Amino acid sequence: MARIGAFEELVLLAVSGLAGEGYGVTIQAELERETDETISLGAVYATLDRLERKGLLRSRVGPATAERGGRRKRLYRITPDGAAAVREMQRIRARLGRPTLHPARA
Amino acid sequence: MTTATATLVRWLVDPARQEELLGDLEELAGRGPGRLWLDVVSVCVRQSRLVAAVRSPSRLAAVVAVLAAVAMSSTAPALRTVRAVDPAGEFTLEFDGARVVHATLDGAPVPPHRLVQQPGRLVIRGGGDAGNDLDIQLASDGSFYWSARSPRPTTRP
Repeated sequence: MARIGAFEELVLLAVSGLAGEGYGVTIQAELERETDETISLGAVYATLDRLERKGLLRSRVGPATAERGGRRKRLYRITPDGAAAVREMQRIRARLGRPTLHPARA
Repeated sequence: MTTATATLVRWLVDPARQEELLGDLEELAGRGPGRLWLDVVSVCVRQSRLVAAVRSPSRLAAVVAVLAAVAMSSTAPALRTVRAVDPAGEFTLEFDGARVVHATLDGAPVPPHRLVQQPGRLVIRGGGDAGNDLDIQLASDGSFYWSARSPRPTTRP
């Protein structure tokens, strides 16, 4: 199974939450809203490309809209492998996170 | 989105990705120029057609050499010497950008202490008529103006 980084996991979760209708702008907006950080569009697209090459995302060209000057969107959808990679990361995190419930005292 | 940002994306970004990226940037244009430029630059860097072009070491070396040459040429001093003539004779001004760094009067270098530079103005001490100062107005477009000096009296042997 393909291992993913923390930012890749966030992008996969954002794409998954947008249910196949996510594209650059909406994925960036979702990530910024949930992380409360500024995330560049270039970083979003670089990660989307990498995840698509790994087979964890699939993209298709969507319809043109007026607010985009008549240009089409590239819409992203998570693949079964992508969903499995996220679940695996969550399992690992859950196992590793358990001891932190009892932090060491200074 | 401005014409400049669109042109930059068309130059730098992989043509296969331009439609979706230009559309995204068009949607993001309302967030203010600072934020838009952050996204434009990030897209141009991360989705650049140069990235695909420099995958081989030899191509990468070529690109680095070109970029180094461009960087060096941009930092090299751009000296420009202008020759001027009036009835009293000839003088030259050597510019580094908008600043005069050297001057000659009748072919002889003018000592630096006689060059007094002010914004938009250069004075050559003792360079005018009868030992007066030569006052030269410097324009922002690189041109300059001065009151023509009178012909020098000819000396008889």
